[in-house]
Amino acid sequence: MRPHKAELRVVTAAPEDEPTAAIVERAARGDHKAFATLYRRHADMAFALLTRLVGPVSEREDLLQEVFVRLHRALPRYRGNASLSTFLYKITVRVAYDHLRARKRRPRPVDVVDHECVLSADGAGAPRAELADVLRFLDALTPEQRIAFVLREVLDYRYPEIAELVGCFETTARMRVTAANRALARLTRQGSPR
Amino acid sequence: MNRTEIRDAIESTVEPLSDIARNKVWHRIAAQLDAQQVEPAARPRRWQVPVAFAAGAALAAVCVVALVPLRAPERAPAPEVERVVLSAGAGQRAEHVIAGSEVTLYGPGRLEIEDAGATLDLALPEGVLLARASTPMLVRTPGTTTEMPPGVFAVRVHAHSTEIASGEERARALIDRRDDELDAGAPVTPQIVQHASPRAHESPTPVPSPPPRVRAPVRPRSKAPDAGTRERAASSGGEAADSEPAPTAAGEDAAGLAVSASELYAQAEHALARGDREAATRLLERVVEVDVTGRLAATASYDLARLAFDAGEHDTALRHVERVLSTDGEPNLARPANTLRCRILRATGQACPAR
Repeated sequence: MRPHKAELRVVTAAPEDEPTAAIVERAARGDHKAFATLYRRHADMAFALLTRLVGPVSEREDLLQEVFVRLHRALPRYRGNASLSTFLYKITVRVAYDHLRARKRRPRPVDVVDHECVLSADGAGAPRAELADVLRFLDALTPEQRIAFVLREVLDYRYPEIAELVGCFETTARMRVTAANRALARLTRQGSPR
Repeated sequence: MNRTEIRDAIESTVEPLSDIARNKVWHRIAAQLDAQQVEPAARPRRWQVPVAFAAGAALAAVCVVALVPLRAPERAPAPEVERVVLSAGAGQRAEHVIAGSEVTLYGPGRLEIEDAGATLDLALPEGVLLARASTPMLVRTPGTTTEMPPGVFAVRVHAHSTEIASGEERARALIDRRDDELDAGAPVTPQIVQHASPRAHESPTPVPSPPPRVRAPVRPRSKAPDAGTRERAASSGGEAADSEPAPTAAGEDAAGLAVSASELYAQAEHALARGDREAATRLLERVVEVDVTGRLAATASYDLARLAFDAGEHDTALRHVERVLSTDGEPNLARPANTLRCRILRATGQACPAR
């Protein structure tokens, strides 16, 4: 258990009030303590975004790990012209996209087992059947459409922002959302997918 | 199911990251970063460097002297070469991913791929090859050997002649010991450089480019698994073969080269993502020229209008947006294009008449 203790100490070691720019600079130079602080400050945000983009699947922790490993690699390229959150959002979207694309190649049914804990944890969430429908609908979209749709319709991002995050033209983002909405309309016309 | 319900459902799945999970993930990240971190080597003293070098050289010489006579009758073991054979009949295509590169063969044709490490060696006796290369490729066709840099390119072998189109970078073609170079940034479709095989003609002279052809819509592609395969023949009904509409005869051109406009558009997006607006503009203008179906051309025109508007070039922006509105290539663009037109007109102090 010693290594765990050491890691826990590192995670909580950095001062709360240190500005992000200074922490980023230290982390980019290889300071693990600084990087741990970045992780502690941004992990929740990245995890929540991952959940929205890929759904409540069990691989989210692996994806979160991938996000921060990529962030660590990318930090030397971070110039500070955008906020670190935006930079991290871009990486998170990319990781989610890679995951969704890999999942499309190995299709499997909607991960209801994975969702069990979320679905049955309390009664406050969406009803189980409705959530399963939503997840099925999202799984039917292409990864590009799904990400654009969630960013637009769930997170209320504007098209230029989506284009910036995804790395595409605004028009492309707009078309992806339109295609997703069309699929939704089609689904609604046909009735419940169940 | 409407958007609000979807939003509520998705939001209901968002749960906070527990402290245990957060620390567990951090522990794994830290372990991964530690594993990646190269330990700084102890700085050697000055005298150690030549001494170590001399010792190493001496040891190598001893090994060579000791082993060469024993090894002489045998050939040095060749590095293991992964070899894949794809074949596709008429109307079929075969796809393969190797060393991070994607290759698609449109039949009738055959493609042999050898992964020799730094370069992929492709032999295409017949057929149409479309490749997205992440490593340099050596493409051998009858009478022609072409070195293709990483990027997107298409090669067609037809009646002992080879047509090569490079999507983004220079390619060097070696035809019967004669060097030739494809244009940099040549789009795939209209500027095909055709090399006649010495077998078919006495002197290989480039012939004029064929006019742009009508292209088939780009199909979504599924990649064939390649793990652990040493040799594979993807014939009809095979794992990597599709029986989609035939890219034969005229369709063959379309299948092999259809990707051009969309590939150019994708390149334009990449250029924009890395902040190279000039390249993005250039590539979008190529999309407008190349895309005969009109849909991507309209999209590219809208993007050009946006880029020009952002750069303060209102006349250019207006020209592009008018082109979007004058065609009916992409109906989804009518509304944003009208809005953009009004913004441009207002920026130039003009009224925006309703259309």
